[in-house]
Amino acid sequence: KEPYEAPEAAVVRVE
Amino acid sequence: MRRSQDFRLQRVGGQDLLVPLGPRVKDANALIVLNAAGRQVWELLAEDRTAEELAAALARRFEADPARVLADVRSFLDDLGRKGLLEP
Repeated sequence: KEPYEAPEAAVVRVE
Repeated sequence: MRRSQDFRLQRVGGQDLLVPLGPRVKDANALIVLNAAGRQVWELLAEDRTAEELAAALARRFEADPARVLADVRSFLDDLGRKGLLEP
C-alpha cells in the first residue's frame, strides 16, 4: 500500500 | 459536488497535472499538481460525490484512519472550491 498523505492540489505558476 | 469541466487531468513526467482547457487557458497562469490522494478524489469527482463518500474511498485504498481522512477531504474540497476547480 502507498503511505497515506492528505490530498493536495499544489499550484505551479507557468507562462 | 462535482469537478469543473474546465480542467483536464494529464500525467506529465510522473506528475498529475490539472490543465485548464478552452477559454480558461487565456486567463490561467498556473497548473495544479495533484498528489496520489488528490488524483483519486479528482477522478471520483467525475460524478456527484459527498465528502463522506470520497473519504471512505480514500480510507479503503490507503488503509488510513477514516476520521482523519474525512477531515483532510473536507479541507481539500474547500481548497478545490477556492481554486475554481469544482462546479458551482
